Amino acid sequence: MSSDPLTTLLLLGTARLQAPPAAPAPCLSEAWKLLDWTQPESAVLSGCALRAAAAGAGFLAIQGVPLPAACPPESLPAAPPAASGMLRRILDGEFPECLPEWLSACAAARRTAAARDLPALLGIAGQQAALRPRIHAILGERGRWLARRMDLSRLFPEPEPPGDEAWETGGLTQRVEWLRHHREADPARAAEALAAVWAQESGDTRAAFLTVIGASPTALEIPLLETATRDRKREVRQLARAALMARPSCAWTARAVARARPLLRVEGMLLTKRLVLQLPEAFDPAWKNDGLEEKVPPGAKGMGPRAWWASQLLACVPLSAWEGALEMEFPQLLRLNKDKESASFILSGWVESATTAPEPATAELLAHHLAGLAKWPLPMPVLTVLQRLVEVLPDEKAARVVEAAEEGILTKAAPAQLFSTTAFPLPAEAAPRWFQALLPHLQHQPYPSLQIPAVRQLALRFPVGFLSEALTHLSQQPALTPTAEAFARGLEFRQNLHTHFSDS
Amino acid sequence: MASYPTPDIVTALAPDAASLKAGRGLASPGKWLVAAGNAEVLWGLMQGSGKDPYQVQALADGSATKCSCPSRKFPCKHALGLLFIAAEQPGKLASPPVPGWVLEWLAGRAEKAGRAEAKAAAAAAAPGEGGEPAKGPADEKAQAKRREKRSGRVAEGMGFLRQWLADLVRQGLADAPIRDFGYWETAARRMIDAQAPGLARVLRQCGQDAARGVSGQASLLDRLGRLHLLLAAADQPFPDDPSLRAEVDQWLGYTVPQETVLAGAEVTDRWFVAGRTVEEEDRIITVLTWFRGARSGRWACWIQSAPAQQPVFTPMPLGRWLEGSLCFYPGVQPVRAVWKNPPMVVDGGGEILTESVEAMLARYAALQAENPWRVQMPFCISAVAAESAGQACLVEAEGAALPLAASPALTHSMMAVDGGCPAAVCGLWDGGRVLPLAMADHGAWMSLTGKAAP
Repeated sequence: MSSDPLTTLLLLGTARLQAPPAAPAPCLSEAWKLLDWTQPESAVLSGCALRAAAAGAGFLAIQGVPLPAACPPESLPAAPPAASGMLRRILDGEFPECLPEWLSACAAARRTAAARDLPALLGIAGQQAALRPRIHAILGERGRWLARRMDLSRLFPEPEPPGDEAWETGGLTQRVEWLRHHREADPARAAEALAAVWAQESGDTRAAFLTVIGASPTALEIPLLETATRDRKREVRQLARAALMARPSCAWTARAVARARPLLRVEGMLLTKRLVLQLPEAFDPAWKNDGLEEKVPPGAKGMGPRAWWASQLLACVPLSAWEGALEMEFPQLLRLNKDKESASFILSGWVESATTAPEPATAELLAHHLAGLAKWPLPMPVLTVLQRLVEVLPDEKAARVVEAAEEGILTKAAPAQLFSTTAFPLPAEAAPRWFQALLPHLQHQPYPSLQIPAVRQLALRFPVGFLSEALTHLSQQPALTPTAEAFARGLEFRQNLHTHFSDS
Repeated sequence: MASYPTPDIVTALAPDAASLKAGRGLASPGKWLVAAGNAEVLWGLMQGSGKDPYQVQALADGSATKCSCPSRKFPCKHALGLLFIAAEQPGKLASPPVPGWVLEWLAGRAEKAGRAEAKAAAAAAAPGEGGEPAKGPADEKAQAKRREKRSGRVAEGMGFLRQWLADLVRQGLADAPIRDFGYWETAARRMIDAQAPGLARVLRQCGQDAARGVSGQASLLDRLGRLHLLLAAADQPFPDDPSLRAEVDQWLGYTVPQETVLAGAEVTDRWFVAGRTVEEEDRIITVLTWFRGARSGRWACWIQSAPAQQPVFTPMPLGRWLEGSLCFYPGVQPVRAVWKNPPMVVDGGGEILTESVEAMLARYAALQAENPWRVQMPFCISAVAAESAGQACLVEAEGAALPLAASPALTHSMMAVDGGCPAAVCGLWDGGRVLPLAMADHGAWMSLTGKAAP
């Protein structure tokens, strides 16, 4: 309760009035004397009116508030108003999937985001780590200045190397950054630091650290990786195996090749020449030291224990290693893999190897081989396997595999679905063909075979140079299904986005 | 090149989100049988479900639209689609000769504008009693009788309210069930019955203050004080001060006929569109658009109201200059005004005049001395958004600061736009804090009141 006498009187009521309250401010003294306290209700309300007028009319501006430092001058111009308008539509939820493309187009045009859009972009940077680099690229001086004022500079680490406190007490992002920096600057120290904390870290943290190592482990990290192949977390085991397979010269990979070598041999002559798999008779307990599992998992359909062991043994060997081991090029090995008993097991192992530790040349060969088959030999669904292989290939090669699949194994309705389950951007030369292939699926009645959310993602993958042609084709359709309409609107939005940046 | 509205302006014209989305869907020239325009007007033909295509037309600046579709929304999705094409792809508009149905519409508009002007001129030439248009003897007698009857009801209502306030104050606010909305609503409805809607509005505002508990206490006491002052002033005839009498009458809830306002003094100027607020109460949407005269320095507020189902059409683009005449309502330092004729959007009006914080506070003090019921006063200062001890504020280059009623998100938006350098900010000052309306943003103006239209 306020201690102001007038307010207290109002709260308690004039029935309890003992003495008229004093004027609430010296400037009201003269006017206060004119109040008639023989009618206390009227006097109190008049007092309130006087106080309200005095407070409003007598307000004094606050003094001594320091002016903030102005932001440094901008070196790049802001995005054109039309492009900024499109960003606001994206931020309002109209085409949110186009945000990465808008950010990239803005950076490519050497522009910054408009000032009024900076707070929203900084908010997104706080929530979506993957977009931070692209957002940082278009912040400009004003955006970085605002980030400092909003205490969000931590989202955009400075180029200076992270100090040791980042590794010792920082969050996961900071520790990953420290590890990444020191693996380049001081590999021995990085390997030592990692080994020192490995056992105490959580599974997610261990997986994050192995992601930094990726496909380029140093010799100092090999012992840790070998330990990690026996980790209790599956993701860590897979990452460790992938890193080791990327170093064919390391002892682990050499053991893997030596273990698997006896399993495959070439038998027969001329037309009967074929690749044959010798299943292992028993599970060697020593294999557990390298991360192999004895028990067949529920997901391994159609595989008995021996086939499961063989598949794992094959999966640990980089595909290119077979060329040296069997003294034959990989395409020839693929052709010879036609034994009815063992072909599918060999392919399973090779698919696992190709997707765990991708080697672009052999992965592409394997993908084309599978895509061109007349009959699918594997227990895993064709779309699942092809999708995994396509994901490890560069964009142009991925597009060629999908096209080959359409003419080969995917002769029915699946090409569009395979395309929609992958994420690679279409190369320019493949765009017209893929557009024509997609159109019947978009226009299919009564129910299109693709749903609108997937279609909106598809619209992102066509190259900018093809958008005008695609929209012309669509405008010539007698009518568009809602799915095709959503696709067209996505293309149109992208076209306008790029036009606004290129017109500036 | 014609001056078409920007996409932001077209977006603000949309009556609701569904119309905006549908309008965006029609913003492709390929969807139209005809999409054309010139410097004055836009027109198009859109095939609907019927045999004949819909005829869609709009003035080039977006200030009026018409469509033959059966939609009850205004502007409809077809008009919005056509305006979006003009805003974003003006080069794709065809420019054939204007068809007859468009010329007919333009001619009809011109004729209607002429009739309105003639009516206002006739009212100015021969005003009736109390500034109302002249009528026949029978009308005048009936009107006088109605006025007398209403005066009696209002007086009765004020008598009740005085007693009700006295009882409240005697009992004490702590004991009264003031947090109960029904407590204030009962008295407000009594005022409605007494044909004093202004008093009802004040009582409902008191109820909202009371519902906030301790945080609304100061506002409640101030409002009760001003209500008491209004009731006291209502009894005074003020024969020497018709402006004050008119001011008090409007606060009680008496309305002034628009013809009377249009017949009164007008101010011709180049007006800057300084801000826009949207309020909704009892399913009525009210849009207040604020203007500042470049030559006169006067502030004006144009109020438009419409049912929520038929939203208001607000063609005044923020940050633009309009050439025209505003007629002000009678009162003490009035700001409420109406356009004598639809104003023209002009280019190159220069920058809006700003004043210092000290001058603005002095102006507010002078306003309070003459009109204690007008709590909010528009202003424009050059300042920087900042935060001091957790409180958002506007800081002048000279160091004076004013508390700012803004969320952290809004404060950050203002910081981003001003970049630490003073920028023109328009707002409403209520004696304790700034309610921001809009601010200059690199040649454009950014609304600070959220969505500028429902």
